[in-house]
Amino acid sequence: MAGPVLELDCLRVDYDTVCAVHDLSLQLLPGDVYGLVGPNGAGKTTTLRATAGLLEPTYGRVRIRGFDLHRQPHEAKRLIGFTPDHSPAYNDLTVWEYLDLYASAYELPRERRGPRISECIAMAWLQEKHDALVGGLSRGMKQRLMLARTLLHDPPVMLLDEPASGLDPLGRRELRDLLVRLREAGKAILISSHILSEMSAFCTKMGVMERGRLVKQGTVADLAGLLPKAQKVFVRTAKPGWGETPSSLPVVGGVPRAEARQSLAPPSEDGTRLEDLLRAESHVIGIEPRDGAVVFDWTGSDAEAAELLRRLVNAGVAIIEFRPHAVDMEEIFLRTGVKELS
Amino acid sequence: MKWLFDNPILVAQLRLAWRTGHVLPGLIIFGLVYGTILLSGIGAETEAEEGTLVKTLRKWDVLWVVLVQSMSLVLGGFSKVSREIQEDRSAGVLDFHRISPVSPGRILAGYLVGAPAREWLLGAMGATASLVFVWRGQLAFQSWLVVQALMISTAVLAHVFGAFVGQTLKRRGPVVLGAVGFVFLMMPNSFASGTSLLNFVVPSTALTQVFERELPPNIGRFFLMVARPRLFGVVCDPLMLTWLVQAVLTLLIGRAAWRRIRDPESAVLSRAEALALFLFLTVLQFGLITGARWLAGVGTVLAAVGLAFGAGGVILFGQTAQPWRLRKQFRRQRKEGCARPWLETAVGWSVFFAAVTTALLMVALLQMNPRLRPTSIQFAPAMALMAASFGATFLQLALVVESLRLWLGRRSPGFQGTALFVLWVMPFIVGLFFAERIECIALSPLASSPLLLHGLMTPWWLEPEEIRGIVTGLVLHWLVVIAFGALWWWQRQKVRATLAAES
Repeated sequence: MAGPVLELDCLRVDYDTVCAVHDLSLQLLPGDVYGLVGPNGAGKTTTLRATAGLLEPTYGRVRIRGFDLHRQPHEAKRLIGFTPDHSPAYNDLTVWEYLDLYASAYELPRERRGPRISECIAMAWLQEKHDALVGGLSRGMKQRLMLARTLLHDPPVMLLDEPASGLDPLGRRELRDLLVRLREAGKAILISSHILSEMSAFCTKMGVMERGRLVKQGTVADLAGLLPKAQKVFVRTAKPGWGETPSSLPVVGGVPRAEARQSLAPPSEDGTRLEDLLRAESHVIGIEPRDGAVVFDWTGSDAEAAELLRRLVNAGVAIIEFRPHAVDMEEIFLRTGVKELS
Repeated sequence: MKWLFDNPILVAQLRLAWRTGHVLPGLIIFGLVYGTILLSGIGAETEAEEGTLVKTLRKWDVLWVVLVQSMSLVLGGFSKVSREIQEDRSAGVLDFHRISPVSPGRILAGYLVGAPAREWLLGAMGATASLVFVWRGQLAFQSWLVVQALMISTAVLAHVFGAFVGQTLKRRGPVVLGAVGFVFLMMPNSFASGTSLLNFVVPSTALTQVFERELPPNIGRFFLMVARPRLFGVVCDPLMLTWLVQAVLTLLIGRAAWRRIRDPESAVLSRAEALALFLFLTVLQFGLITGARWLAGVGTVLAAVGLAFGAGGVILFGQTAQPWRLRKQFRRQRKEGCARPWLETAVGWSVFFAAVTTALLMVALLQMNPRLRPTSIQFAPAMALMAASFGATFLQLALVVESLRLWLGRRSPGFQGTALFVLWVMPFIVGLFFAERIECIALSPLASSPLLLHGLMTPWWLEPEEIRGIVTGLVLHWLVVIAFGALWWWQRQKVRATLAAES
């Protein structure tokens, strides 16, 4: 089995009096996609910047395929592709010229530069912007350009800091597909993102950071296992229980804020009856309206759940959907108890 | 050559220079300026040639061409390089270059050659324009070559300095103004004794030597006032001296720019480089005043001491560890398994600076006053007092900078730091108004002025009252050192305690 391509060993980074990353250790094997999640100020970007060699750690080591980043920078830097959370670029160069700059910087042979640039432009869906000035690109397009730049020298280790920021929904889907392809190609990817729901689609490992520390880490399944044993159940009635419930409802600990709850349209008759019936059940806890339906934690067995469904139908509630609710990254993130710092 | 011309940063900078569209307008504007100078010069003088009146160029108009050329190439290039690097640094583009396998030397070369491409073109245009004077027989070709070589060496120094400024400072405006002011301040000085090292940083002194031979008598008389510099009594070619100074400064400033590209958090120079810079500047400066025997006086010697303090102060300020760096060192030290790092402090440097300055001053006094003997009864005690005075001043500089940085916890001194510095400087200024008691009031090298004054006179003899005054001044001086030392020690202990309390 191949050894780790990226190793962070007891990495600590300080900004004067603030410890941004505290003794962080992790290893990535080929094909690993490691998602770093955490609130603002948790230290995700600092971790990525220190791993890329942009910040000198207070102590600790970064090794890329065994090359120490600070002792053998020339060898290590060739193996890293870094996409920052902003898009530093020369506005007066064209997309092609910009990529040519970095193809040359990463010492791609002259005869291979043209085809490789075209290939990366295609991978980042920028074909139509081939000769456009970088300054004229939208934020999302610039983000794609940064991604193309990262792919240019085909690095075995990729560090992506919020790569989906600024991308439209289609762009996010394309990014997700690309990351899956890269994962299958054996790249080791360390990625930070706030769009948690999408990370479970391509991450093989996840780490939750808070105040510079890695508070939880493991596979998505491992992290889901850390949640309470209760299973979430999703129930939708023919006449929605809680009017128009926006998915972006302000939530604290999984429950909408009281004022937000009050601002919702009152529940329909079906909704009220459903909620009353559920409250009477001993295995039901934490009833929560979501997207015009109801989600609750179920502590009983599957057979008991089937019995509950039968009782609801017999009570005249017009149920059109009754299913276990999949645990997503957002859920894991919220349940790990990290708090917003900023 | 592949190292330079297959340089991605250079190619990008050339593309950017062309894309921004400033090249053609620049060439047109400067073409018009040079054309105007040449056309206005033609016809202003007439010469009889075989009985006919032939219109020719005014000889000294070449000075205007050189001035415009230096403005475009030296100042324009400095501004362009510093702006490009600063913009790339703040946008994060420089970070991208830094994490690529391109070496720091190639990145620096890319900016230095690529960013001022337009300015080099304008410089070439100026060189071509001044070639007209050679063609018309007003200027020897060799002199033209020397002038152009001086332009190039000065431009390289200015551009390298621009690269350093672009990576170090957030506001370039004051530096640009300071550089322009420095050049204009040095121009009249270059006609003086040639005892100031600063006159050999800019090309004005060397240029006056070139034009002394070339220009008509009415203008040339003016240049004849220029004295040839003497280094420890040996007459030097000002051109060679200028190139020597420029070459060393270019190397060291270039090295500083390179270090900052490699690691933006690093000290400006290594310890050896910083000490070498100080040695170079002070040895040359004291050598120049030692040679200029006929002009030597307390003022000249004090100016040389002042330059030593200025250079030492700038080096101490640039090299003194930033508070965040010290904290990092402390944390590394505390971490098990980490090698014990050298705790950065500039206190040792100040001792070295004081020793060098005293030794050079001693040599200068012995050279300038041939009747003075090292065996003179007061020579050794006087030198000891001088060393104590210099040591105290350099130590104060180091301790003030370090303790303020630790105390205030930021890179720039801010209001409190500036206020404290003004308080520290006040006695120097007050001392100037009470010259008869200067050694007591001014806690500075000025306290040594009676020593210098007597050192230049024969026999060397200080009255007991003067000695008492000097000693009183030195005691006060060292009390201030102790006070700052205590502040420095307290701040370091405080940082240690804060870090020890970290979980």
